[in-house]
Amino acid sequence: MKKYLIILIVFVGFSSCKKFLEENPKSFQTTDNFYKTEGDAQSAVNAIYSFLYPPYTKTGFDDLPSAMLEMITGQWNNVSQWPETGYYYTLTNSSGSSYTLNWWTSCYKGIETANLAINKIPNINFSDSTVKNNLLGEARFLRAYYYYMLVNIFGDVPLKTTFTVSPAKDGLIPKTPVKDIYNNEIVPDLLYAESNIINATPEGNGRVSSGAAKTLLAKVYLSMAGNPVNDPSAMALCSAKALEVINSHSFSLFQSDANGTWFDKLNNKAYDNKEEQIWDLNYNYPNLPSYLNTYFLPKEVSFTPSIQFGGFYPDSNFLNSYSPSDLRGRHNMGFFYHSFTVNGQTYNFPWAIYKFFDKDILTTSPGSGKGFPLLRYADLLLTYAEAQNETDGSPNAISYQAVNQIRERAGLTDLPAGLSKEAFREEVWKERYWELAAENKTFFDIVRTQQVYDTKQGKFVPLIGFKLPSGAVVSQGYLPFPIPLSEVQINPLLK
Amino acid sequence: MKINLQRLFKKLGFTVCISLFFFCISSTTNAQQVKQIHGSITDASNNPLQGVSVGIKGSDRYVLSDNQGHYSINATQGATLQFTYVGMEKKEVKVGSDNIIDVNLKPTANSLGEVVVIGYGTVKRSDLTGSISTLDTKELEKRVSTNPYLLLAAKVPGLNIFNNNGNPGGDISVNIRGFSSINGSNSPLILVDGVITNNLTGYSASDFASVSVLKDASATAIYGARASNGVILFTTKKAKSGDFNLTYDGNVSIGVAARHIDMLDANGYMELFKRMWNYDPARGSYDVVIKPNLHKDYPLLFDENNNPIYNTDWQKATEGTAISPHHYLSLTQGNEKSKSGIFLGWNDERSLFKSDYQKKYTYRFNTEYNLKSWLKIGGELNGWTIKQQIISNQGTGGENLPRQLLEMPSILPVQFPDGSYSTFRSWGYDITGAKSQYYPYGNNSVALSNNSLGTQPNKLSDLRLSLNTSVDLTKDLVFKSIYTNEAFSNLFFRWGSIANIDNNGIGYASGSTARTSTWTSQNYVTYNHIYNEKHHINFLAGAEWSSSYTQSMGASSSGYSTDFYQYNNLGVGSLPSTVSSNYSAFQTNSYFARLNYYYSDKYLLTLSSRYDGSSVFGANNKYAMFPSAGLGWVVSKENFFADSKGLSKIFSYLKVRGSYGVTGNSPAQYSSLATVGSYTVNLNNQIVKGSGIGGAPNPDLRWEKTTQLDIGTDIRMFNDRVSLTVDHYLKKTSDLLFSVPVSVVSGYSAVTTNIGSVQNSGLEFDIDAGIVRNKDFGWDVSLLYSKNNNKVLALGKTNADVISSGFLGASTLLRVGKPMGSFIGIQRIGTWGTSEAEEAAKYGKKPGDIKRLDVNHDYKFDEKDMQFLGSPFPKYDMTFSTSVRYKNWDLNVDIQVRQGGKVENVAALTIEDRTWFASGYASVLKDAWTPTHQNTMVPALRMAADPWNTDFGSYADSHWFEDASFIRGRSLNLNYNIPRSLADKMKLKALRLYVNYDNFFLIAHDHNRLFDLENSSFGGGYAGQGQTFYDTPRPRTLTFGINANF
Repeated sequence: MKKYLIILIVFVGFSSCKKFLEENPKSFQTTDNFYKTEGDAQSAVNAIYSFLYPPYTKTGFDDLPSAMLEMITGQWNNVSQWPETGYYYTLTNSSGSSYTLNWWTSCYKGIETANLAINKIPNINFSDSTVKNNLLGEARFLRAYYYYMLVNIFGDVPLKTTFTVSPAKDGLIPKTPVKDIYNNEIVPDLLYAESNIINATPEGNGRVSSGAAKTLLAKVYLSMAGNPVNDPSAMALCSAKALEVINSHSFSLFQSDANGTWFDKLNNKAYDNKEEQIWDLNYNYPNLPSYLNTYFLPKEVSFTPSIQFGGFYPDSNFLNSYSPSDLRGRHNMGFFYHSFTVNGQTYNFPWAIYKFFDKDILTTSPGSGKGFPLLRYADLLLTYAEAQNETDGSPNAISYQAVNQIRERAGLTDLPAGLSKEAFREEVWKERYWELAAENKTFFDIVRTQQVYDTKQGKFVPLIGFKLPSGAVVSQGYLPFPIPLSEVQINPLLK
Repeated sequence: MKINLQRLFKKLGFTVCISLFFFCISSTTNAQQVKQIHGSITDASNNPLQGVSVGIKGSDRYVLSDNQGHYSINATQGATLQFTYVGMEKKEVKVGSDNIIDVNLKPTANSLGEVVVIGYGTVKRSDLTGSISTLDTKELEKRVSTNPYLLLAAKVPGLNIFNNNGNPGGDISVNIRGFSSINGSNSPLILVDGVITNNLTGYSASDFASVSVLKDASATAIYGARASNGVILFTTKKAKSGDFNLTYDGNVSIGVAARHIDMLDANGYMELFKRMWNYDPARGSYDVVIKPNLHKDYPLLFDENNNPIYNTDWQKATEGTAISPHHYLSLTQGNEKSKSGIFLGWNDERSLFKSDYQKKYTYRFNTEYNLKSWLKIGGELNGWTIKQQIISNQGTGGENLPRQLLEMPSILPVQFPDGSYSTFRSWGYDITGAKSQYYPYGNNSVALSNNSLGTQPNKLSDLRLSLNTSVDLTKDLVFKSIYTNEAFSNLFFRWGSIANIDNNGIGYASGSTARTSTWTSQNYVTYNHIYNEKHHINFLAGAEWSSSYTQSMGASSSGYSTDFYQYNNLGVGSLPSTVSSNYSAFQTNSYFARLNYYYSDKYLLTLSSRYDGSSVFGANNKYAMFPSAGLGWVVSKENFFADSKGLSKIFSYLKVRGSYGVTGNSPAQYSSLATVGSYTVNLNNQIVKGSGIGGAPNPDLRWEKTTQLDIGTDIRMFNDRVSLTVDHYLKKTSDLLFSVPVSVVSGYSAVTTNIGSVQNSGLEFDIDAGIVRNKDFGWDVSLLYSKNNNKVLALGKTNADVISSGFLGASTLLRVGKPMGSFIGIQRIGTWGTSEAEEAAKYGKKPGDIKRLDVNHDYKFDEKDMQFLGSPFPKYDMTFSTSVRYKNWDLNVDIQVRQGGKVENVAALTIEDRTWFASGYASVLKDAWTPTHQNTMVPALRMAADPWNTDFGSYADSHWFEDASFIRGRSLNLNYNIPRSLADKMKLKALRLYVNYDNFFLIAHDHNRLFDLENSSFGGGYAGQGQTFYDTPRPRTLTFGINANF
């Protein structure tokens, strides 16, 4: 009996129950136990921001996906050693490119994270429904922004506003025309965002604001008025929306004062989310550093504690297109620089981009805590000026003031009064080229106007046939960029 | 109840006896004077031997001895009884008038009778149907190593053990019969004394008495869902019966650098710099712009004549002699009531680098009580502690010691006159000719190796308690229960000084700790019986439960104004950067059974199966069945064979066997769940956390499934002088865990799915020949050979190539029909010549730049231009061993041959293609492109800011690959056993003196760009095999040892 008792004890002691093989993770959540509380909702919205970063994240030595939007402008000479940027510089990029895949992946992951938040948050109980709507407003703004990027980079793309249940099947959907994505998705999301987001500015929180929603909406209307949607009614909507932002007086241009030049305010992280900065991509040193600032350090010399890469340098024709008196042009430490003095030693190098020179990188390089401007008041002012001029047939005083504000702080004289619609339009366009250089904004102007500022000739020319500093000539069908090959292989509907 | 049962079994036994009796009557027609012979059987130490086969010569009848060593068998007077037992010499006794025959068996030299440890038991080697290789104590003692794995390296065909670098304690990766998993583990299941463990390397190599390597499905299927990669069973030395016995084994190893890589000396380096500067004539001539300023700009480095003052050989300056002591002590004592043993080990293994060491302390106490005639209870408490510091693998940049060993320019001194250590920042010019550090990383390798730039001590410890009970329910039926609880923990600290240039002058410190706790309960019954003296049945059935969880946490900070605190006060750092903690757990629930059936030791059958449940499987697939079958035929026992003089004269033993079965490989924890991803966002300089899309769910997720067919033969020839084992196998793994790409429009990039298939097929043989076997002189030679062909059969739904990016960009490939992890890249065809300037320009290149093969002539390099560049796996592995014994001396030599396979060498890029960030190979001045030396693979030398000449980061380049074939003097081992008479005088039972010479030569096919070709620096995954990153140089080690038995 004793013998069998031993066996019995052993078996009873370890007999298993069904629950024994169930998994019970403790250091991460599953979709089953998430989206329950207000805190979960806040966290779900925070996550949507994280997909804004990848295109601005330098990997390896000098690989920067956002550089692909700059090469087509003809303003730059690529000096990066990594071949990928060079493909856009020589117009030999293909659908296998890692840069286009980066944009595609970041945007759709951002959209899916937004879809989860937008569809799950309504089921969460909130004590205050305005808080809930504010969160939904933020989520819808970000979803609209990701779609705005997608349609400008890739043209027609799949439109998906529900969250995924079956990953293998739910992504296999056909393309939706750009026009429908603007009308059915981007505009409604932004209209919801502007009326439900509580904060008017990002000051103090760095989040998207109703002011940012109105600004992005104005830019969206401006794009809709141009290629490929060509909706004539959008110009007036743009003008009205931009004017709302101006009249809100929530934002203002940085000015040089005792605290520094306005260029240094643009470069200073203390001025992030303030005044001119309507919406910044926020970084933190050392916890979430940006490597973009290091990317633009001239590679011929070394005055920071890390390797300097150069990224891309301004083409001399582009520099020459600035007026000699323009502080943004050939003016050391405006938007560009060709010498720098630190610890009593002066370093000289070819003209390089100073626009993103965070002074902290002299010690913190390769990391920096400086944000990247996603929406800037100068852009909004020029957006208004262009739309008002187009809508009304001639520029009004506010438009003149908008452009002249920008010109004045750059050290330029005001535009002559009484410009024709066409003349004023061209002045605004040129101002956009000069003011918004290297900020990934010019690309969107090229898409909607199908024109490029040829700095050699000093005039706007059609995109097709435009010759880049590399010597490559833009051919028909170069834009929009091809949908990534790997996606087309999985989903033949994208062909 | 007990009485009743005993009665019942008595009755049963009686019935069996009766039937046996009738059987005997009927089968022995001429029965004369049949009587029952009985007795007891003992071993050399007079311990009873259970399971000894007692047979009658000339008949098929036999019985087995019981657990008291007792037997009884019916025999006629004049018949000869044969006593056979695994590991013992066969004994024959003629039946006389006496009815009691007690025998004492001696250990045997013939390994056919050996006990082989298999899953949940042991078996006689001659009864095996599966492919199992074993090493006993004697074999294990022929190697000296602190890592148990290295005792097996190149010793077992089909078991591939790679020592990836020269770190103390070894950095080991292991596989059996090739790689078969893409996302899962490719390492075999490791068991110590029958219980799964992940902590083998903590044991002292001297702890092990035997090792069994289970290769085919018949042997491994009993371990079910975790057995796909093969199983290695380690058995520790145990308490023995007999008087107090004390054994001491001690040695000291002396390791010296095995290889010196020739780098540029000071004059060579300045010539290199001159050539780099002169790359662009627009800068002006080096002799005009730079040379005259050298002393002025760098007075500490250059004399008044602008010649370098120092000429440092960084390898010689940094590498020392590694002196490593090892001690092992065992104490055993036992009688029929109890046995106990104490085993203690200590060693302090050193590296060529002063900073690196591994101190290992091991202890084991085991005891066994015979409480009743039917009840044995035993237990073991064992544990170990490792204190180690391995700095040399730290980081990939300026903190990586082996890298700095090669990359630091020889013009820099180890220390400046003021005592400060030089760094790469101590020197440089930018392309304007201004004094400037052009490479801001690069610590001094001597400073790294003497701990002055930081330390990183790691303490690992393990405690294992094992209790076992054995109950003899009847003579044949035994119940066993083993409960084991193991707790592993580690505590790791790291500190980087303010002077360490990788820390930006602000210092760095971190700490992390983890603890894994596992319990396992095994319970099984074995039934061992012979029916009709011909049908031997051995049946096993049981259940096993286990549960394991791991908790970890870590923290780091930087921003120190002093080096005082090191890692002892992380709160002082002004920039706390990370804190983390983690929890993971898994449980298994398994049932298993095995039937061995032997008919007259001639026809052998093994059936086994495990029904395995695991928490890591998806909700819809919690359990799986893993069956196997093995058949063996001992041809030499057939009459036709034995009767044929020709055959039996040549073959003393011939067995053919075959097996087929299914085993599994489990996914990682939680991989079937839909997880919420955690994101970090910064908003207005506040880090906020986000939660969004995470892992994609797959409730159908299950194990990878491997079916394996093995056909083998075991042959002994010429009176056991030659033994040969040959195995051919075909191993097909399907339902591979594969991350299937899905459209990103879904928000997910990939879903882990069971799809895809890989095949390994191969041939292994092991031939052993005793050429001379005299009393005073013996000479044995052996040859091991294994060849494995790895081939991907199917990938995902589309069979599309999967290209992985490693440190050097896209360089490894999964492609149907090719070995896993094959190399892919762009073919370097040379350098552009001055006459090709126009064509080069179309690629954005200039004469002197690298010229690559543009397969489709589209003037760009992308996946379409990538070519197959070979496999990381060797074509075959071979070990040639010889042992020579002369009187009290014996000498054992292992020479390992590996043929085929490629190694991707990062140094070829960072030292050769990007010479500006490093010193250069001594050969670079001769090899690099110049207008007068155009036909070369090495591009023109240039400054960092000049256009680069490599596509580093995008695609691998064929020039970075080396032929990985080598011939290595693995081990040379010389022993001297002092004569018995002398030992007696010294009051010793035995004394052995030995010398071991490890890694005593290496013949390789490379270009002297690597310290060693046997290394994979990027982990155990298929996509990291054969990729090397500046591994710690492996020493050549000479060991002197003593083994004394008191």
